[in-house]
Amino acid sequence: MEKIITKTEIDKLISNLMNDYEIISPVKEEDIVLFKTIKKSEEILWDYANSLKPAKELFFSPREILFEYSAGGQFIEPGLTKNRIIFGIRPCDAHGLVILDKVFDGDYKDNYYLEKREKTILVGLACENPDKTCFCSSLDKDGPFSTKGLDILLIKLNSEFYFAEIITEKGEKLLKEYGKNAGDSDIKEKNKLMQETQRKIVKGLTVPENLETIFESDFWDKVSRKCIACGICRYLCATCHCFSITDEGKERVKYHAACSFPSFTKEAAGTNPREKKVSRYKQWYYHKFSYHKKNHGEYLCVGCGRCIRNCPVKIDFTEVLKNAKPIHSQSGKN
Amino acid sequence: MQNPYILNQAKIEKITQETEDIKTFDISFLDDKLKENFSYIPGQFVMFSVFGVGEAPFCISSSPTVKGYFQCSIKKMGKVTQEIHKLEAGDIVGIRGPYGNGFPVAELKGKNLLFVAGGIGLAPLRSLINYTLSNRKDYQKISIFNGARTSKDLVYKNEYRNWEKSPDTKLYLTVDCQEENWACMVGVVPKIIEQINPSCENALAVVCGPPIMIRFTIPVLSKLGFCEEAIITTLERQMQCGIGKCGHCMIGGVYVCKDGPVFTYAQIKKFIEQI
Repeated sequence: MEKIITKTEIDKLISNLMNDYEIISPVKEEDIVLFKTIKKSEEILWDYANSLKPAKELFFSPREILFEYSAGGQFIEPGLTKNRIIFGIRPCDAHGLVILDKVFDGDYKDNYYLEKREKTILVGLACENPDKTCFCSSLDKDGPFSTKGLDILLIKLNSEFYFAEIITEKGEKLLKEYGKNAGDSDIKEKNKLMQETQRKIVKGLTVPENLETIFESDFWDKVSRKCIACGICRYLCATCHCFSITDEGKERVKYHAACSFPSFTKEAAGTNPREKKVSRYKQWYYHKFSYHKKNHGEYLCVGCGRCIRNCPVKIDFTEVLKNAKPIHSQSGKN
Repeated sequence: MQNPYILNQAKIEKITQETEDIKTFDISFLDDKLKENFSYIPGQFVMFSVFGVGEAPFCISSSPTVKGYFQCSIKKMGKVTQEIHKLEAGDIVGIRGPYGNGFPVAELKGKNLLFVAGGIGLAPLRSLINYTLSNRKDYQKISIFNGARTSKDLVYKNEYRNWEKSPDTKLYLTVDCQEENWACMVGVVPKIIEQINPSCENALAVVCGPPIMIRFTIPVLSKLGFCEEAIITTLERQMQCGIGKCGHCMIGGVYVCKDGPVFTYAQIKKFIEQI
């Protein structure tokens, strides 16, 4: 279902939802775009490329209490999440959640993530001005206008009107009293916008067919030299989901971890199967573009470009993959 | 929905000092139902928590034929195991599991079995050895190769006699270097296997031990004619969740905690250098 909704109506809708839902949206604080719980609709940032951190953090928190030990020997789980609406999530971040759903679901269900997903409505905001590091259209054909994982996708037609693509029943219910049905000319305008935006995406991702066979290649030694293994590409990734579990006093805590650090695989006996930087560097590429594909049928990447934008040594992994080829030097295998 | 991270409270019933730094803990669940019904396959592991310290994975070293409690044999190594070694009988710990695939016990039936252990690697194998010996008629000849650095590092010493007493069962004990009053074999495990030259006919080999022992044992078994599918081993990796999500144990796309820890050589051949 497609509707046309005015900015004034959206503001009214958000105000009306405040009582029943926690409303989270991108806001700007000291030049950083981040997701925050808002109190009034004016706080929402409607014009931005993307948030510094991915929306995954609202479901898979950097630090989350799994339970607390009580004196009586019980394990007290945290209370349930409030019903939430995220307004203005980018399609790439919503796509990331669809990928993560399969990770946290399965034989063993990570309810901490799944419960938040269940209780959160996603109202997306299509990208108008993708960054030069964005390449979402390589991972989803609709790219900046993708509706994957969303309940509603809002597309800004002009300063007053928004085109609303309603994808789910939840979305339909939300907009029931708002907007009017879109006409053919609106749809045409939207499609035109979509094509124009798609053209603004200059970057592409090509995963080499021989990725499997070049695992042992010295190519990886060469390209990993520049990497300082800081982990930023993991922490800011919309789909990286590695974590550690530790006890902090009476709390058992789950927190983000990154495969770039030696401690990630170091064993109690002192041995470390990924001691060398190059093997940790490779793990990121192979997990994303080989292992995850084998395990879940898709790449572990949505093309949000955060890893490229924020890499302190300016590694552009799409360029690395483009140039991936077998090299064998005299020094032998890594 | 059941929360997979929540622990079950369990009591340390008994502690056996195996070596200077290895203890075997008899553990029983406080919940009576769970205590009676806890079932597992040899080769599976549990996540063992010391409250306020953390948790770590340990294979179950007892046989599932034992009821009412299970055992973990734990070497003092890191933060969690240091604390586990301070535990006393009666202390309460947290357990979740069992996790992992376990040994393919059904496929072992009717086969000649070669159990190859190094050091604390005997822990998961002891579960399997005692399990197969409890159902002795289901299996053909059983050969156990058990090695340790020194005789002081051998675990489950008081069970060796029972193993040897079992029909058609042979135990080859070895230490790395000659010692005083040592009447068994001397030399590293792969060397001893070469020396004994066991037949690969209708046989499966199960190898557990430090990575270096696994890496040197596999070529010896291959030379004896064991095919890649007939060599079974267990991998050890750092694990945090035990349920195939946290990523720490991933190797070559495989989650050791969920897809393993038991693998055939055919399955892990590709990344044997990384173990």
